[in-house]
Amino acid sequence: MSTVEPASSLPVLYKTRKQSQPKYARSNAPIVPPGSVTGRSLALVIAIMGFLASITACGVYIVFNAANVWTDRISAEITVQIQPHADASGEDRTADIVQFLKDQNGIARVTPFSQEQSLKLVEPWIGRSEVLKSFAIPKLVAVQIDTSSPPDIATLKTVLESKFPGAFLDDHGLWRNEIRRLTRLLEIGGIGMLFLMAAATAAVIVAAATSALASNREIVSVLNLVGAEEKFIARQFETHFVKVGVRAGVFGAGLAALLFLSLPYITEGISTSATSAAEIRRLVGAGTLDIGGYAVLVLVVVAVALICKLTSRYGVRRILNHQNS
Amino acid sequence: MNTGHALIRFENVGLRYGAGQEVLRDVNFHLHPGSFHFLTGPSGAGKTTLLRMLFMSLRPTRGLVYLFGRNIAKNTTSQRADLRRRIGIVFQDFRLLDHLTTWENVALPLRVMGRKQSDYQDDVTELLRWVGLGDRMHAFPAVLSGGEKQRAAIARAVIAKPELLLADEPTGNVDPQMARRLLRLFIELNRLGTSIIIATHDYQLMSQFPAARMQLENGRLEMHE
Repeated sequence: MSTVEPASSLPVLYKTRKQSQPKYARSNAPIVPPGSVTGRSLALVIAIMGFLASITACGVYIVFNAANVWTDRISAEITVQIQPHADASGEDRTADIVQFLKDQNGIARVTPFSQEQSLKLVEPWIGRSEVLKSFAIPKLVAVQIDTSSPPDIATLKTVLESKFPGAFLDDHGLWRNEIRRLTRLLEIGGIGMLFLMAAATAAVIVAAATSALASNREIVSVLNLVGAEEKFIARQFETHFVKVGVRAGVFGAGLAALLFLSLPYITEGISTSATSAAEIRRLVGAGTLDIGGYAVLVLVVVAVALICKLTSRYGVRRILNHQNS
Repeated sequence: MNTGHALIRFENVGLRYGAGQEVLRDVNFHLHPGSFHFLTGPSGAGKTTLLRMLFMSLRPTRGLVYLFGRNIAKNTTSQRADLRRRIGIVFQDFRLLDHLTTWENVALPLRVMGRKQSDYQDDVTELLRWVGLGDRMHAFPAVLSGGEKQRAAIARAVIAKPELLLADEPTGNVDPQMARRLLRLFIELNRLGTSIIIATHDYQLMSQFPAARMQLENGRLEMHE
């Protein structure tokens, strides 16, 4: 009854023979076409998020560094305030205190302020007037600490204040704490903004993944048909999202790097008579990035790519799981 | 009736779409590994539905289905994918991916299994030549004729040497000579251990090989060994 031919001319995979054949497949041809997964608008949104994240992360980094410089400078100096005494010469007490301070270990330099210098300090608040010269304002002595072998400030304070009643040693602890509190606030704010950006990016990618799966329903169906596991299917989509994430992240971070490079010129442009460029630089530095700053930019790119990878994987697998359950 | 080593086992299986009538009713059968069956019956009798249940893309509304000794209702998605890799299926509408070449479509099951292209390259090429698509390997499905698409779909279903092959009208779009050639491929696969179920109305095809028949009529199945 059977009229079929003998098996001798069957294809090679059902026999043991092996022979070299030309290639007919593109190497690693994408199973899911790239254009059907991610559009330009998604890349643009991720690039903008990458740019904003870079600005925020580097901004926090710059402020953190600047705050460290401020606190280091403040810590390297203490101030002695000498209340004027009615029964003794202020100058004499100042000379004694200066000599006392110079005799202490760990003190690099002692600079007493003249009355004119002291008045200049209060000038922004009470203005300039000849009358002020007759006021008995406290004398100030700036003391530079030798940071390589600093003195015990608490002991120095106790000894100084007991030996010279009316003299007060200020270690600038109040300012240090204020700066720390401010930088901590900026850090928390920056990290919060980064989290919000990451969440927005993730939400955009989940939406894009949902749309990509919907527009590639037939491909997903065929992949299921040939026994592809969810993780295999998810990987086909994930690859595209990671590529977009890396490209958009590099673009955003690159743009941010350009902005930081041009910051000194921008600072010059925005400086006014009240706030000179030099003052702004003193406050936050030049604004350009050091090696650490560029490392932060690289981290942003890695983070964007990771968000794209994990979110698309989670999003696609969740949808597939829902479809297949 | 010993069903202990059955490859497929249906127990009182029924299936309805939505609130409609049952399209399959009280289906009971078992098939042993290495068997060859033609699934036949008039149009609308439920042949495609039965094949889709065998491929786990439809769930029975009642009864139990065992595949490779496993109750498919208890499969996880990963186990289902694992079982599907042991099954080759040819759909009536071919289900080829339009953006992949014929060669890449046929190689897809092997790629999904994680095999290296260099390992299967010769097999895919040889199989495509054997089904008469030697000069269409780099063509995209959009430019293939119905018969060529069907042969590509068959090649994709058999390339991984599945343990079970399900084919829905596999010779519907090819000439009698190619139909005989494809049947020969199925017979050879069966000889090497693959169980075959071919859904067809083609009596000429069925007359060429003395296989058992599964007859579907009004949603009920009769086995003719």
